[in-house]
Amino acid sequence: MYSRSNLIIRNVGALALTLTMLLSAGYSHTVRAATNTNLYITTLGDTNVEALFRDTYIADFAKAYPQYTVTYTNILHGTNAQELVVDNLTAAMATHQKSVPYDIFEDTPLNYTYPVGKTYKDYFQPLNAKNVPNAGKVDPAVLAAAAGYGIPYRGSSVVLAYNSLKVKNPPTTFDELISWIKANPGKFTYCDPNDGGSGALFVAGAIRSVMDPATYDKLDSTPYSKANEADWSKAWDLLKSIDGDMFQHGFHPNGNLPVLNLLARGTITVATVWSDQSLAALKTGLLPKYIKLVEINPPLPGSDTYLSVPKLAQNPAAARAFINFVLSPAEQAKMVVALSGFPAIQVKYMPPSIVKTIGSIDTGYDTHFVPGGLYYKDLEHLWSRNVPSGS
Amino acid sequence: MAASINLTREGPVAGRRHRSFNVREHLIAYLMVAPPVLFLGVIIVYPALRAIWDTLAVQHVVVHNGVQSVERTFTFDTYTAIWNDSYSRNSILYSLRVTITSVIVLFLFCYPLAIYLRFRHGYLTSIFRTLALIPLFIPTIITAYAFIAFYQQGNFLDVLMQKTGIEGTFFGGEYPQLIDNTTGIVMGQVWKNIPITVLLIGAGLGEIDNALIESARDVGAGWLRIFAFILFPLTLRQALIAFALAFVGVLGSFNIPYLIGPNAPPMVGVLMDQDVNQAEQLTAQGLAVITFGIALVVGVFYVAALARQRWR
Repeated sequence: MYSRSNLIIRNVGALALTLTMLLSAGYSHTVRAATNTNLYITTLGDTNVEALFRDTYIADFAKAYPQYTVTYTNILHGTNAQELVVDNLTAAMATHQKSVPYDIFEDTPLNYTYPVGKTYKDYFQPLNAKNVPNAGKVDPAVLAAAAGYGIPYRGSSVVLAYNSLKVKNPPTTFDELISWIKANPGKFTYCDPNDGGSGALFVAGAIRSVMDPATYDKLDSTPYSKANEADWSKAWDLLKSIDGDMFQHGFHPNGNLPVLNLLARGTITVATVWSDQSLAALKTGLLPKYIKLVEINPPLPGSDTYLSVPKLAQNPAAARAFINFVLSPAEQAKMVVALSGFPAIQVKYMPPSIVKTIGSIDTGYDTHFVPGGLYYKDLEHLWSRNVPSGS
Repeated sequence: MAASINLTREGPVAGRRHRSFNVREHLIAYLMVAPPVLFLGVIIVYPALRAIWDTLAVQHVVVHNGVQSVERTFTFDTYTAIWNDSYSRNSILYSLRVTITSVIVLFLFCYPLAIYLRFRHGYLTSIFRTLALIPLFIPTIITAYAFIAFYQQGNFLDVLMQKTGIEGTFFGGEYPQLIDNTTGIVMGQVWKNIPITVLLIGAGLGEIDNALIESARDVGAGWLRIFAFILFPLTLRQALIAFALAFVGVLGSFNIPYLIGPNAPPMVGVLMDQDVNQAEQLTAQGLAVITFGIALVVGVFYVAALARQRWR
């Protein structure tokens, strides 16, 4: 069966096939690199963020930069983002892939955990005002929160919402707010920190009020250390002392939205709320017009949502172009209208119509307490065990 | 000619002793059962076994001569940590308390209802029969939000009581808190489990011959006696099934405790959610294994009780 000529033909054929495959692979690779027009964007938001990207950002980007083809995916609510994105990047790096189909990721790299011995710097590319020019318009403290590896594109901070018909002089500082709560039992509540940032960041305000300022500053400027939480027990005592004066003798609703509902019904008259969520609610009529927003002094923490670019992104230049585009005042104005968020760029760069609606409350927020960070997780963990009655 | 009914164990089987084992019939049967069993195995059994393994053989990173690797060590740390944390420990005990309370209230409510539906007839009875089945068609989340809309302070019942003066005269002007506490969870769980329990007990009651009741009444038995000595023993099997379903359902529930339960202590399902959000996956898995364990005990008891029932 295996005559000599047969063998030669088979071997030559196999060699020819292998060479063709090798050379053609190299050929197509070069062709792709020369005209890479793909851009892969992944967001972790709710349906409103998805609509913003699909209908506004990507549509406008396609008009301004028609050479790019954008592929967009939304991971609803960012569920399991750690596994879906970061662990996939780990797998790609482990198999020595040169590039991955992820160019833009809608989160700061600092919110995730990486394999032992690696940090976010091994996974993501640095982004700053040099390679994304519009980043120069962002508040430096907000930019610094992503340690140079993320650019914010929208923000929100926790402000005080009050019923202007029943509350004529809303509290303007955190201590005034505590006194107000004690004087008006049952008329204030904050949501469970495990379920909503508006409640968690109120608790952060309580923590700030009992910590000494130097240690509080350390929360975002030095590496995480449990020693910085030494004074937190005073915050639990403070919160426990006002817990009985909450709505329903100490009930904390399980999310940001139930608090807005209570406020809209008039059951409570003052609450801590997210600026973007309450502005959107005011616009749609969920909150009646007599609910007003005010920032206390010093402001409660807030957060920005960042865009980051993985190290192995297959088209980093396009990614940076997109991020720069999203930071332009025109696109930021569209985001403010669509999501009622704060622009990432400082409000002075925004058109006057935007300044009119949010200028009074977009005055900056406390950047020391980072939502989603490690201290935030400790806050959730310790609050549940120390504050609610029955814990 | 007297007909004899062979009720002994050997009866139906004895005749088959000499028949050959029909492989083809059995194969088809097993093939038909295979897909759901495999599905169950992959979706439920494997993750459960995996959770037990991961919490007992905990992974951690070790360094040998500068080389990092992941090793597993056998340890009970996961479970001792859960037990030592008073919040988690209270949560487990609280879940058991709420489950037992809910099941007791459920049976106190459903047995009379099922008996009423069995022995009364008429238009009103058929209305009640329909009402008893409604919770089956309403998703749990909707139920919870409906409870909030009706029973939370400032909502429907509160306003109704204020306007009719009930709140002023009986409660001193304060609305009695009905949800966002244990009462809320019990109310919601009972509401949710009424249809299945009533259907099951009703099926059992349906098998009871009216003649039995009538003859008992003839010798002067009151309703309580009839219930204790006739109705309850003869519906024991269905009651056990309903008990097991309700117990395990309430123990592992999430929506109702999350939406209308108290902030603390949380039920075990809510605590698992909190732990996952705080990136404490292993603790959540440990809690899940503890929940499996409790459900397993109930399951074994239920199967044993059923098995004993069969041979009556």
